[in-house]
Amino acid sequence: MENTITTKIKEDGRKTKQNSVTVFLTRFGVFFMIAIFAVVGMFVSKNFMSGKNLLNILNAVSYLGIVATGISFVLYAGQYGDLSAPMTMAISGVICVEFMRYGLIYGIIAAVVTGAIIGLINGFLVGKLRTNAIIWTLAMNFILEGLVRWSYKGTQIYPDMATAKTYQTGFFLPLMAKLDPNILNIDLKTKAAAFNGLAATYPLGLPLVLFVMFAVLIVGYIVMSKTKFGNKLKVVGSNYNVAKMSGINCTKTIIIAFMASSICASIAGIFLTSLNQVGAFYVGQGYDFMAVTAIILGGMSLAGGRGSIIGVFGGVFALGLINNILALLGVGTFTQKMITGGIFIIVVAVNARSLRKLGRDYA
Amino acid sequence: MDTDKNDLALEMKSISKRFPGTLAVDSVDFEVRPGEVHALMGENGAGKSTLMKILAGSFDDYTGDIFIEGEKVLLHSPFDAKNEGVGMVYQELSIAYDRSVQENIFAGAIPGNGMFVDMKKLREEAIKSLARVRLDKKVDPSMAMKNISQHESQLIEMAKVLKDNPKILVMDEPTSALSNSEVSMLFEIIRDLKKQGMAIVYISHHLHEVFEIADRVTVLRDGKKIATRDISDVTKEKLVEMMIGQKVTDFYKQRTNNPHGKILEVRNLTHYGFIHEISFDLKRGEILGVVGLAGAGRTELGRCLAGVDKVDDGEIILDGEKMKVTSMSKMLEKGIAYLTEDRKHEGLALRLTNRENILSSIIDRLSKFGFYFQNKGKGTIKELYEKLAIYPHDPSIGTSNLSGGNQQKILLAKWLSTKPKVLILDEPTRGVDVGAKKLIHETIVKLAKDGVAVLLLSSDLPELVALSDRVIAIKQGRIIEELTGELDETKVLLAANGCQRIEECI
Repeated sequence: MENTITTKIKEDGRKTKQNSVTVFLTRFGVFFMIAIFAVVGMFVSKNFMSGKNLLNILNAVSYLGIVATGISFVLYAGQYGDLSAPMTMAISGVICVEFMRYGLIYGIIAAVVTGAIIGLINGFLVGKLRTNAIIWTLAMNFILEGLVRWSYKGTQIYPDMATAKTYQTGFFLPLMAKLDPNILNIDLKTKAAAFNGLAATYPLGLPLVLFVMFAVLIVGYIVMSKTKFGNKLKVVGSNYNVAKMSGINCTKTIIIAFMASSICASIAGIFLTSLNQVGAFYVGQGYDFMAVTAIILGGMSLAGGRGSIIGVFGGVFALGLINNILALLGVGTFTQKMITGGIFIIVVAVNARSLRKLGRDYA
Repeated sequence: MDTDKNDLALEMKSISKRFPGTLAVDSVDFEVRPGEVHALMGENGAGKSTLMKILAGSFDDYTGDIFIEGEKVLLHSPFDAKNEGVGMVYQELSIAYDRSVQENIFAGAIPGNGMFVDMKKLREEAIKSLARVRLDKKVDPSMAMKNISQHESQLIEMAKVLKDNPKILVMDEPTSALSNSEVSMLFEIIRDLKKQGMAIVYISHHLHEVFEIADRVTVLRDGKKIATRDISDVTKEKLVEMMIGQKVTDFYKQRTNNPHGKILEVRNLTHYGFIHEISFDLKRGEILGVVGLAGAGRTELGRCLAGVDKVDDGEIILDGEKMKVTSMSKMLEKGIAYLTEDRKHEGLALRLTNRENILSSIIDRLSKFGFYFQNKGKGTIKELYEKLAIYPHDPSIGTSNLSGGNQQKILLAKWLSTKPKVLILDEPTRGVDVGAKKLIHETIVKLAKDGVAVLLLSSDLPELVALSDRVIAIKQGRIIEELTGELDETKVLLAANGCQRIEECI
C-alpha cells in the first residue's frame, strides 16, 4: 500500500535531474581545463612538459595554494571571501622578522598567533555580529595596512639588518629594546640566514614551501571533509538558518573558518617574506583576488557549502599553468594580470549562472 | 445566480495550480460581483492564498480562465494583475518605514515634471487617497511612516492599493492585528468602497467578521471549491461544517494512547511580547495539540522550548531535571527536538543531500575526537528511510530534487534521528500531499506509542483533533483553554477564537 503512495508522489513537472555533464564540469571541470592547458603548453614550448618547468609552476603557485586553502574555508562557509589575507600575510611576515631574532621558531609562532587573532576578530565580526564578510575584511585589510605603515613609519624591515634606529619603529621592536638593552648584540647574521633560508631550502631537492603547500592542502582536505567542524561548516555554508535551527553553533563555526583562513595566510606570509628577504606592507598584495579566482575555478560555489580542497588545488595549478604559458609566450606581467582578471569575471559569471539555473536549489 | 455574466467584476473558471507533489487549487470556479463583499473561507492549506496569488499574478503556470468585467485576461505577472485592476492588501505590509506617508502611497508612481518630483501634486493626491481610508483628517502625508501606528499603517497600505483604482480589491486577513474598534472602522471603509461599486474579496478565519461584512461566501477545502452561498442562507454551524468537511478516518480514532509518567513540566514560561506564563505538563506517549490563530504564539512557544529564543521567565523541567535554556544544541542533547514550520528556510538545506540533511542534527553524536564518521549514521538512515517510505530510496540524492511531501519526510527523519524524548512539531504536514500526510500522521502515532511525548503545533484542525490526546488553545501568547476528552473540530476552532460557543464568536 505504501508503494502506491510513493509512486503517486513521483509525478512532478519540473526537471529535477541535473545534466550529468554539467555536474561533471562543475565538479572536476578544472582538471579538464588543466589538460587543455597542458596540450596548449606543449605547442607553445617543447620545454613545457619538462619536469623542471612543471616544478617551477608548482613552486610559483605554492604560496597561492596555501592562501587559497585557507580562504576556501571562508567561501565554504558561504562568506564570499577573506580580503584581509594580503595584509595578514604582510603583518605575519613583519612579526616573524621581529621575533626571529630570538630564534626562528619564535618568529613563526608569533606570526601564526597574529594570524589567528586577526582571524578571530574577522570571525567574530562576521559570525557573531553578522557583518558583510567582504566589506568587513576589506576594512580589516585597510586597518592592518595602516597599522604596519604607521608603526614602521613607512620603512621596511630587513631580517639581517638592525641598527639602533631599527628598534625605534615596528610593533614589538621598541619594547624588545627596552626590555633587553643588549638586543643590538644579537648575532642577526645566522638568525637572518635561517629565516631567509625558509624559502631557499630544498629538502629532497624540492623547495620547502612546496612540501608546506601539500601539507596544508592535505590537512585542509581532512578538516573540510572528515571532521566534525568541516561537516558543520558545510551545513552552515549551505543554509545558515537551517544550521542554526539544527543546533549548530554557527558563530563558532564561522570564527574557526576565518581563523583557518588567517593562519594559512600567515604561513604563506612568512614564506613570502623570507623569499623577498624583506618584511613590508606590500608582501601578499593581490593574493586575496588570485586565491578567490583559483577557488571558484576549482568548482567551489560562491554561495557556500559546495566544492572540495582537491578542486582548490586544481584551480591553483590551473592559474599557475596559465601564467606559465603566458610567460613562455612572452606576455608581460600587466597583461597577465588583465587576463587573470578576465578569467575571474568569466568564472564568476558561469558560477552565478549555474546557481541561478538551480534557483530552487539555492533557496 | 440570475445575474448576467457580463455584470461580474471577476470570474475565475476552473482554475488549477499544481505545486510539486500537490494540487493546491483544483478546478475552482469563483466569481465576484461589483459592489459585493465576497468572503473566501477555508482552513489553512485549503487553497485560498494560492487562488488569490493566481489573481495577483504570482504564477504564470495556472490553468483555467480569468475574466475581469467580462473580458478574458492573462495574469502572468504582478504587473499584469495591477494593470487589469486587481488590488491586493496582504497581511504583511510592504512599507518603507523611513519614508513619508505620501512617498509610500505613491511608491513607484511618484508624480513629477520630468526629473523632479511634483511635491504639491504628490501631497494633494496623497490627501485624496487618505480620504478614501478616512485618514485625511488624522494623518499628514508628509509624516514619516515610522511614526504611524500599526493600524494606520495598514490603512495606508490600503490607500496605496486604492490609488490605482482597482476594480477588484483582495484583502487577506486584514483584521489580524486590529482591535475591535479598529475593525469596525475598517468595516465602514469597506462599506464605502462597496457603495462605489468595488468588488471586494475578503479572506478571514474570523466567523463573526464574515457574517458582519460579507454578502456571499465561498468555501474551499483541499484545493476544491465546496460551495458559494449567500451569507443569509448559511448558519455559522453550517459554515464551519463546510470548512471542516467529513470526519477523519477511523484509523486515528482507534489509536490506543497510553500516556504514562510525566516527562516535561513547563511552568510560567514567558518570552516578553510573545508568550506569557505558559504552564502545562506533558507525559510520555502523549500528544498534546496546541491551537491558536496566526500570531497567537504557537511557534514562539516551540522556539522557546527548543532553546532557539531566549526565555525571560519560567521553568522547563525535563524528566525531573530543571533545564537552563542556553542553546538549542543543549536542549537537543537533553532530548528536546523542534521541527520548524518553515521547511525551506529553517528546516532543510536544499543544496545538501538527503543523507547530509538527516544527519545534520547529529553531527556531534557521530563524531569522536573531532572526526566525523558519517558511516555510523548509515543504520539510522536506512531505518528512517524504511519507516517513512521516503522516495527515491537513495539518500545521496540532493534534497531539492524531492517532492514537497518527501522533503517533509526528510525533515521529520532529521529530527527522529536525534531520538528525542520530547518532539515539538510545528506544522508537520504543511503543504504536503495526502499520502505523505497520512504517513507522517501514522509515524507520529507510532512515536507516541513508543513513549515519545509530542507537542503538536498545528493549524490543521482535523490533524489536531485526530492526533491529540489533549489540546491547549493559546491567544495573544497565553493559554486560554484546555480541551480534554472527546475533541471535535468545531470545539477546537472555537477555542482558538477564544469562545466556548458559536454564539459568542459572533
